[in-house]
Amino acid sequence: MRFLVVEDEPRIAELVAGALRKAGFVVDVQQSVEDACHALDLFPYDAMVLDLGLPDGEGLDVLRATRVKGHRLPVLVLTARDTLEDRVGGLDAGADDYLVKPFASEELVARAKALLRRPGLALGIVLQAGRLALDTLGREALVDGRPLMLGRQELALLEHLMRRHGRVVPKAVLEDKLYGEGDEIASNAIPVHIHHLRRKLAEAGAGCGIQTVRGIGYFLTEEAQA
Amino acid sequence: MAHWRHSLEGKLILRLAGIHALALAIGFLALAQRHYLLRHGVSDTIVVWAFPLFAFAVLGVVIYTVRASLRPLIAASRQAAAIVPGAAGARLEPGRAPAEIMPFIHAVNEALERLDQAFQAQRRFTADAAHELRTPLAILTAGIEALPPGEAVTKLGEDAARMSRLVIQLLRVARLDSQPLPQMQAVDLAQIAAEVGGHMAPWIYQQGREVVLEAPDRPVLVHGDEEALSGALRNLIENAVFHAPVGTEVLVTVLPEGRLSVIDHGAGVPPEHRAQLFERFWRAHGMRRQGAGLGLSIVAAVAQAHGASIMVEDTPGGGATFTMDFPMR
Ligand SMILES: Nc1ncnc2c1ncn2[C@@H]1O[C@H](COP(=O)(O)OP(=O)(O)O)[C@@H](O)[C@H]1O
Ligand SMILES: [Mg+2]
Repeated sequence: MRFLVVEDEPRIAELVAGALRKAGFVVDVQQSVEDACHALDLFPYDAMVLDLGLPDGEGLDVLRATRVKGHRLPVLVLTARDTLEDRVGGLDAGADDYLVKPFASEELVARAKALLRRPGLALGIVLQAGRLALDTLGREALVDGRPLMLGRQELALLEHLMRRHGRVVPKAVLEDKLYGEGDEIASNAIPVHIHHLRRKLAEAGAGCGIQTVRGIGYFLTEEAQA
Repeated sequence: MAHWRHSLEGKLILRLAGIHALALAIGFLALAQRHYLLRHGVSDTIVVWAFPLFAFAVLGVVIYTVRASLRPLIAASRQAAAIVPGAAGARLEPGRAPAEIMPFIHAVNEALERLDQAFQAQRRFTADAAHELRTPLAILTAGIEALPPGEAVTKLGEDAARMSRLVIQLLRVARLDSQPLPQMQAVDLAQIAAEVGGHMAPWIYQQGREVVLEAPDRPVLVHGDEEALSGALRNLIENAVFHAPVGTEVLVTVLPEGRLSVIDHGAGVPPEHRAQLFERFWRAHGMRRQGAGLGLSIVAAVAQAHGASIMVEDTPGGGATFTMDFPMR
């Protein structure tokens, strides 16, 4: 999987590229709007990390140019400005996520992976967490290659939690997910499914679990790997 | 002076001259009439009436002219009273104010203009400072993370994180000063609490604590700025997490009457500290390494900008409870 990093500050570019390479991605770095647009024309990148302040223009110009040409590659915007207007401006222009400097490399890599976990993107077909792999096309979950016996709704919930790995998914969103499957659901359906999922993940030693945030939602946790 | 006729003095002279001319005319008419009546053998009284009438008319014109001329001044003072810091472009309307007070209104407007410029300069400085400080911090943070792990590196990482937090808080303070009320609109406290709580939950979990939200299903609408409120709530939750023992939960509650609380089960805030708690750079002894003491001052500034009250109490059974009460519309 190949990333384009567009950042004019050489040290940041180097460190961002380093963190992404360490996570197993191939990375190209460009330092200006013009070079970035050129690189995007030449190579079908899987994702882009984009700084907003570039020497020959705004990072958002690159974003608009790619969107006009119909590239749907996911874009993570980096910014040193943190006001709401900047953020909303970035998301309006078609950014998929943004990160305010200074950020932890871990956070950057997690966000980058999350972008690629969307349906149809590089990491979005087989979702990974701990020892668990969820094949979204084959509709099955495997722990170290052994299938996990999950109901259809449990699988749908797990898929959603895995796509949003590292973030809290509001309970209402999960409920919508199940309604979307055309199912009647009881008021306590989500907690019941989560309870079963948790037990099955623990029994299979999946290396990941589901944490409840009471009053808000759920998120997927990964056990530190020894 | 072309504006002479619009000055209070000019108006008075013109109007009084008018009254005098009128009185003169009436006097002449009265004389003529008297002459006529006398000649026809009839007695008269009109001249006796003329003088007090004239005096009343003069008084009336003076009172009316002065009042009408000063009315725009009262309107201008009302406008001045409504000007809040950072409200760019607020100016006094000269309206039909008399020429004598025009220089004053212009001087006030010029002073407001200079204040606007100063505010703008500070805003620009804050934005530029944010950019200039965040970039090297990002380099430092990422650079330390890229080092081979070790005890010294972990410590450096913590130092850099503390530095980042301080810089971010200082920038927020500077922004609150230069732009006290950015975007006020109807916002839902319950939704803000769910978003901030959800956003912080994975970090809180990593810290070995839990966050719990209790909020009504219906929106709790207050007039406010979402970004500022989220920032304030983040500071309160962060404090609660720092001060609560591992394994406990931090409870965030939203009540329909516009009340937002963050409840922890830590050591609590002793009564003798409560007065200084919300001051800038204040922190309890032994807290030096934790932070700069800016978090709660930001919360207090945000509360004040929203007309909300902020208070701290003991949590039943031990701990601190921070509560913001918002005025409901
Ligand atoms: N939840 C809490 N429980 C106990 N003490 C607290 C709590 N929150 C704040 N304090 C006290 O208030 C001081 C100032 O807090 P704050 O303004 O947030 O500064 P800082 O940015 O250093 O955290 C802290 O040093 C601590 O002593
Ligand atoms: Mg604090």
